[in-house]
Amino acid sequence: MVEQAHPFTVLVGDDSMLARKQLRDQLEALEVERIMEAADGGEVVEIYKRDRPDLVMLDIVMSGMDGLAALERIMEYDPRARVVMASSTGTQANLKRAIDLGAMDFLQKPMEAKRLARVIDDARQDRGGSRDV
Amino acid sequence: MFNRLFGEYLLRERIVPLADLREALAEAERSHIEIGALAVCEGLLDEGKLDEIGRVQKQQDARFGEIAVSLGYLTEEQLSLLLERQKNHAERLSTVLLRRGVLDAGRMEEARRAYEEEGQLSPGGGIAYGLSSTISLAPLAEEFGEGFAYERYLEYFYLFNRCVTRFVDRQAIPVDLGEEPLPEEHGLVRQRLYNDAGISVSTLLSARPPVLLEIASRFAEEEIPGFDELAESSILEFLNLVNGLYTVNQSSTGRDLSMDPPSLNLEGGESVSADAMLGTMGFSIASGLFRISLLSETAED
Repeated sequence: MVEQAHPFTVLVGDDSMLARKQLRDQLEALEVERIMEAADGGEVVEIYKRDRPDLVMLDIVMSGMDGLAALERIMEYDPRARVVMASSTGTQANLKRAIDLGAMDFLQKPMEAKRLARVIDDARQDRGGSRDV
Repeated sequence: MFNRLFGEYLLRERIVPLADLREALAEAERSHIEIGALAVCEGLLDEGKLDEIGRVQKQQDARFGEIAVSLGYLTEEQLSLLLERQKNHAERLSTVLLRRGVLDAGRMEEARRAYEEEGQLSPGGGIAYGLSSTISLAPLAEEFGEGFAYERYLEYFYLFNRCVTRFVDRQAIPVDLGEEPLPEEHGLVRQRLYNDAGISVSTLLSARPPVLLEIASRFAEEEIPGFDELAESSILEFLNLVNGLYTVNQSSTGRDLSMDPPSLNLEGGESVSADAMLGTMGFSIASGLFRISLLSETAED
């Protein structure tokens, strides 16, 4: 395996402290090297622009800027960003909007460990390469 | 009771439309059974005694039951019991639905089998059948508007119950807390659901703070000693998860709902008008009781 220059980094955007904590635990178990957290959409966009994480995991319903608005801002800034929505409200309208805006995937809460592992695996493999946009 | 529960199942599974169900239930409840026939069914009288009572009744101006007691065929206690059963007698809903042509025999058999299987498979066994009796729905609920009709409320409460047993406490027991407004000392977790038509409904989880803390601890799968930020986020996330799953459930039937972030008010004192209550359901867990309610809201709330 080729060593990467910087640690594989995942940014978790969720306004629930519990949800962030639980996702952090799961990501640590999947050996994600660096995990960053943000509690609202505005903070997610700010951290993305500053640190360019390898993957963003975004909740939808958040106070302040919601996840779909944050996704839109991130994709405007960086069309190659890897963003996965992680939300309990996976309605057809939200799914469509997220995919239209450029999200890679949508994980319905409560999250299945296997699906999360696959998403992390895909993002790791995709990292460094170019994403189809 | 069986008719109502089976009826709610048929409604929930979209086997029978609400209008047909209501008419069939009303017809079943109007049905009448003679006290003599009931006594024979119960094995208290045979047909010979029934005929004899009938003969006496033609000669005397007396009621069937009084004659049966005077002849020593029934005791006063047995008669009281039969009268009580007669009062509560209702024709079986399935019979009425078949007679009215709402369902054919094959479809009815299929529905009955599925209903019985669901009861056997539900955690807690009999509790699943008792669930309906713990849900109170306001009479105006069905008229509230497209997207939040009667069936939707029932679906919400069934889903909430599944989430409580899955994420909070497998042993939680649904209880009937009636429709009384909430006492002021209760903490409230609230989240608003709304659709494009501007119709919105608030979901309100209410309980004393120690009960909310137990829900938070169990949902977070760790002991949380006091109401800190983790406890708060856990109780909010629980309601958020239930409501998120409800929006997904509704989305699969073509109704798109959105939701605001949930909020918590531990101090109580928030007045909830009984008029706003669309439906409510109670639960009992180790530390006490809690209640989930659906409240009507105007679009500008």
